[in-house]
Amino acid sequence: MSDNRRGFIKKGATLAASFSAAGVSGYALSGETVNKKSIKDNVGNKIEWPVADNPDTPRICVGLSMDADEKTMRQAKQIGIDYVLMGGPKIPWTEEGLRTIMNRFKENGLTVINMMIGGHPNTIYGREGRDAEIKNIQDSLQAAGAAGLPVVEYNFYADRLMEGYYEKKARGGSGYTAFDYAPVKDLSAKPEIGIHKTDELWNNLTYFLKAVIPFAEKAGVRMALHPNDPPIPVSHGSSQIMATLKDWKRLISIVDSPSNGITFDCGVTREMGEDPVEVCKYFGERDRINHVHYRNVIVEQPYVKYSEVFLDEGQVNMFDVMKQLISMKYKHGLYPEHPRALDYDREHPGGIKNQYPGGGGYTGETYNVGFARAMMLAVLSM
Amino acid sequence: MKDNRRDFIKKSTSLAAAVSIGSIASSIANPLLLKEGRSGSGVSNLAKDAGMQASEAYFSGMNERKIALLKQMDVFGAVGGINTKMVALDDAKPYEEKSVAAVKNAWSKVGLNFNVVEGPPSLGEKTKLGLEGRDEEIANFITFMKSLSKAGVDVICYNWMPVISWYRTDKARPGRGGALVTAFDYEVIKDAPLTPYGVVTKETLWKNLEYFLKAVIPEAEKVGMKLAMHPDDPQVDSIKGVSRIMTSVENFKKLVDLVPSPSNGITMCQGNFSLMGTDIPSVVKYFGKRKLIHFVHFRNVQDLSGKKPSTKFTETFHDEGQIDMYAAMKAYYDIGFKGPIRPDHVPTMAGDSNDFPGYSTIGSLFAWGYIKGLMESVQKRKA
Repeated sequence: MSDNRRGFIKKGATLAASFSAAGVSGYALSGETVNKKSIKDNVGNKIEWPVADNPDTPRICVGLSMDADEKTMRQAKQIGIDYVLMGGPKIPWTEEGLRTIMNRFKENGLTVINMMIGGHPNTIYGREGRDAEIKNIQDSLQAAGAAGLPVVEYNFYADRLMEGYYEKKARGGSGYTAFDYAPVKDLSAKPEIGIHKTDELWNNLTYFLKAVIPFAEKAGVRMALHPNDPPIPVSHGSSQIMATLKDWKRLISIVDSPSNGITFDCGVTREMGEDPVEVCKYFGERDRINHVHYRNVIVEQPYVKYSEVFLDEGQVNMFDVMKQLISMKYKHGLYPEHPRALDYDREHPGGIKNQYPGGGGYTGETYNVGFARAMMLAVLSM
Repeated sequence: MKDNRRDFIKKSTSLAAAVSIGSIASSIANPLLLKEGRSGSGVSNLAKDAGMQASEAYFSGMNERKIALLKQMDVFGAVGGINTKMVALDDAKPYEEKSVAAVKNAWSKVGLNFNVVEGPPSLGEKTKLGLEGRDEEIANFITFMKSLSKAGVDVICYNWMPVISWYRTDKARPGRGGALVTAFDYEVIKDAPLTPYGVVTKETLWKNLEYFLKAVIPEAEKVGMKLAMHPDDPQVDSIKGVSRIMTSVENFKKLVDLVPSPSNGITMCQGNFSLMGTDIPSVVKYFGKRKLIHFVHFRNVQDLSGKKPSTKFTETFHDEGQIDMYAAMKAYYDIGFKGPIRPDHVPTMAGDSNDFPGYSTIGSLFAWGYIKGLMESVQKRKA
């Protein structure tokens, strides 16, 4: 922590210079320079204000579509966002294809720091055709490295149990995304997917990692496996292999590389009854947190019954999680995700942009980003 | 949230039984959940909103959508004026007991706590300018305080800006990402003609203020009313010949010394105090120690003039601008501030109307996320 602050103070000197560009970009529009002296006089604190993202802090980001229009990008900029993530194009990615997307965001002041990669069902199920998929992913990672995309996120579900989610009424009629395993735990396997057991899935994941991580490493790209969420043991008859802390630890042991990391989701961690700060520390100290999902939950019964709630309530100590991340100089994405359903978004056509019952849209995200930014400032100010 | 938490605690007692089910039991290595269940989980052992009254201004009336949204933000304080039309009492005077009671009741009906009067019936020009008829205005003000007290409202935010009140030279300045903010530049209006009231001197304003305080503060004390003087906004020397006096920390000290009383307090509008050229924590400490901060406007600004006090500035989002917001929140928390606090002005964001500059709905959501984050952080920093 103290190292961190020193690093930050040092950077403060250069912050003053970049001030009119970064913190208060709005003023640049009318060509005025901000009076630096008055700012300094007004602070009297250890850090320079305003606190902007710097190379040693988490990068608060939101998810946008890769086809996002300028209006949507502007909305992100207004809430102080400089970094975005998105689902990537169809694999194989090409350097040119990625650059085209990333440049479009860049022109609007947004840096793409993470793309989700998908399209590898045969790899997950260990079916014929997986080598072709893996080749596509290897090529995509090379393209990502060449285009300057630092993190590639992915999932490994046999069949995600979306059926267990339902909307639960929250304060003022807003929505929680709640989950209950009981009514859906015996749902049968879909014929096109079948049943996949634990050992089989681990073998498939291992095969994938051994083939892909060396490419990621070489390309300078970090991969982040998102945990299974909901973290229940069985979904549609198939096992879930990223649904306990033991599983997460096993993942990073398969190939020992910072490119073989996780998305640390403090919400899912708590859903499993684990302590988010301890888990954050475990993976962070090993440099295996390549992305963060910053959200809160109220758990009735670990793994099987819980609600995704507002950041300012719930059982995750969001401040301590932020403190832990910053103390480890975590500097990849931090996504205050899963906004709650608010009336404002419900009333606006297309306002709910979320696949989850009780999930929200832009205004909910606006609240989340404000909260995360304040937590970051507070920790840096300590 | 409270219900929810209670629900959770109740349930946690049966958790001990529940955790032994099947394969799940073995995975719960640490007793965190149970421990938290007993002691209150996560945030729940902290005072809500750091012990302050999270409040929002409703200057455009009982805006249904805004009310719904703020309740979803867990913000239950309502700040506004007494508008008799709002409660179908067109013929009543706003300071009368029945008007105040009806308005208070109307807010209660929608689940909000009307906790601060800011707005009509504003204190009149006659009092501030010392014109004939001021005694009647003052008598009405005293009646108003009594009515409020009976209805359970104990803070009045008022100001000493006659003729020209809140003033901006730009209400649609592009800020971050093109969001609209308000701005002020003294240059634009420095040669503006005088108002029909001619030149109004600082001496006149001080004299009238003292007259008012001496008449009103003893009455305020009797009914437990807290008067909260808002700084002049903008806090410049004068506009169109009308002087401004609530423009420096020194003058605020003078104000509270004119008639020392717990009822003679201030609205800690951060934006204006910062533009006076002072640092917020020291002001909070000075007035907070004396228990004279009755209301907080938690906002941010950026000076563009390089002068103290500022002659040119713009409003900003909460997370930019010149005020260190963490230091500010920490100061309120450290002095034990328990009163109403509101975000005050916010940028108008894409998709929102700029009909009421400074009061965009989406803008207030960002502000509240930020404020709640700070409120939680200042309590946790020592943990």
